Amino acid sequence: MKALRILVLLSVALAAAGAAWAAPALPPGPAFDSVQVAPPDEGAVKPIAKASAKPLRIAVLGLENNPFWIPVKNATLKAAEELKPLNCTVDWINAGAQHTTDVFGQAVEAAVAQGYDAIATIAGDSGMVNYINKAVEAGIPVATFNSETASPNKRLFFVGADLYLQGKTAGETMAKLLNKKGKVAIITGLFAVESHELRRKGFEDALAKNAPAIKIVGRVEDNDKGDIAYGQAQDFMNANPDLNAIFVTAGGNFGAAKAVQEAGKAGKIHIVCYDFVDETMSYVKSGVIDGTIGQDPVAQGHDPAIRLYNYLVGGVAPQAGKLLTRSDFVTKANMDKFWAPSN
Amino acid sequence: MGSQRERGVAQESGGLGRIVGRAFQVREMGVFVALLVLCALMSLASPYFLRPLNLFNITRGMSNIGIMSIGITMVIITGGIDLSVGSLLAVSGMFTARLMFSGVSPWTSVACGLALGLCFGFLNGIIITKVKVTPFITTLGMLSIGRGLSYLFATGLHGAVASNIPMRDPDVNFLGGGYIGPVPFPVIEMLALVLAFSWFLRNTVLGRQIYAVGSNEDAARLSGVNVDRVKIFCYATTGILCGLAGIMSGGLLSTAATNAGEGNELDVIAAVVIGGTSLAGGEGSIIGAVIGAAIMAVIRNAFVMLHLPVFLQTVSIGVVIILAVAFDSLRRGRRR
Repeated sequence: MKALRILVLLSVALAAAGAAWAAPALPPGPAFDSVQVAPPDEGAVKPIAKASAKPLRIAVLGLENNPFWIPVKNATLKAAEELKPLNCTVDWINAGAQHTTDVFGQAVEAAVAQGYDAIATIAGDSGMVNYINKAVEAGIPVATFNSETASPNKRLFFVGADLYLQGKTAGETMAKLLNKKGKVAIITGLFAVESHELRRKGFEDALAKNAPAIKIVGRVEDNDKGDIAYGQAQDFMNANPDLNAIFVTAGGNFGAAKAVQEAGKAGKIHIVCYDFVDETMSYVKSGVIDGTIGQDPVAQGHDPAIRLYNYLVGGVAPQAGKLLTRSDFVTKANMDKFWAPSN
Repeated sequence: MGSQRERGVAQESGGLGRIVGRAFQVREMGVFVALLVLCALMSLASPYFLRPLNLFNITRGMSNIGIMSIGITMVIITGGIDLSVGSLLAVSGMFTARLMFSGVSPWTSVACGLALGLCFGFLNGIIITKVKVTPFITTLGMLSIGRGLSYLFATGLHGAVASNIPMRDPDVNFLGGGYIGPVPFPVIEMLALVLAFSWFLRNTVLGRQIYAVGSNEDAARLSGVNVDRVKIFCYATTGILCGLAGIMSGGLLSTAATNAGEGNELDVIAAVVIGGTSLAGGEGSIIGAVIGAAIMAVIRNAFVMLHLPVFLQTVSIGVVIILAVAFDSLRRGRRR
């Protein structure tokens, strides 16, 4: 009994000493809501030229449930190569099947239990706040990437797109493509997914502001599926023979492209969509899709691990809490800069 | 009351009245009339609805659900349920694409994909009849197993990120994306299968045994029906039909997607129920199920055609499911 109490006291003292040792070494991070759009070293941030005295381990908690994640994972593996000579290992961990807290909360807890020195995680909804704060309070800096909750928490920084801005970019591009008049159909992924809704809202707001004459003829959800989007695009074309454009907020955009191509309306009906999966890019290449808006998946996979290392070893914190990745508009003309086929 | 009047009318006006009266006794007729009314309203509301192009798009869009509903109708007639159809669609399609992508000849890959669907269906049947796990639980488990394996086939053994797998053989893709003249080939496949299986259910011993098992399993067993074999047959058939739907779904866009068919189990069950098949088993029809699928497809189409707010679409499909079953139960109550 007495031995147990001493043991507990001892471990508490040790933990406190550890925290005290770790705490002053790390400066405070940037304000949660501070924003920097497309930092100059985005996707290419270099580790500081100082090897860690003790071996460090950084966990990057990601997803592998669709082709979007291929370049993200590869970029994390590249960061791992860069940090290897500096006495730091980076592990890419496939956390599960969804963005939600029930998947990533557990993954963060597991990473803490495994004694990682820093964690980068997706933080899709506000349930993540407790998990992130607990890890940070245990002395483990946490970065978020790809998507994060709007609820303030103790994460050091975020690397990812602002989805509302991405929607706005699409709306402004569409207004230009259509000379500010015409009819647009919207195919969204799921009305229940916040990120898809932010893109849709950004798109519609941008049209309302820049080209109020453009009429939105309908909004449907394709559950991220190409075959559903194919049928929906056909329906839109039948119902609106004078349709000028289709905007796809999420997955399945190549289904809409195929329908437009089959109807012989490639070039007459403009398509704007997101991300660089192979099927999408083949339609960008053939000109059926006018352009696809990126979110720099390479930066999302690469930068969190490097910036966490720089913070752990050099005390270098990023300039802003939200490091927003570029929303490149990728077309036939510039696609080679952004994408290479994955198979 | 209503039935007396109906009978009276039939007697008074002789032959024609009797035929009309009998037609309304055919269970599919009610949903068929509902479909016709819906189409008539749509053609008044939108000048584009009745264009052949639109009608073919609607029927092509429902072909996967239609083909899977053939199998599920048989399963439900036996008193069972199959929740795994969407996942079996995905895993068979993905397996086919993966084999083709690794260099196996296209039609061998298709045969293997169909065989995989058959195996999963067969396994469902074996677990349900021999191990005596309820159909709901068995197929719920298979829903996860199938989806997980489709991810696994997509990533390969190297652990790369799950990706869609391209399907580049035009002949195989014809199954899902081809046209004969203006008619989408999937529509032809669906109609052929519907007719064949409807005939089978009505006119073969095994077909009649499926109904017998569903209406009274013990009685069927006592009269010498091999109940287990009948059930296994139904689940296995559902499996291979899902396999076909999976290959068609991949063929349409020349790519097998890991999320293909997600949620389809509910659409298929809804179609079967709207079509007048009772979840209690013992009765039901394949043609009814396909009409049910058509009603849902027309409603989805209507919301795009008429520029209606899309959230009401989901609501209206729910209303249709409940209305259809309510009418059916009223009709049956009247008959008693």
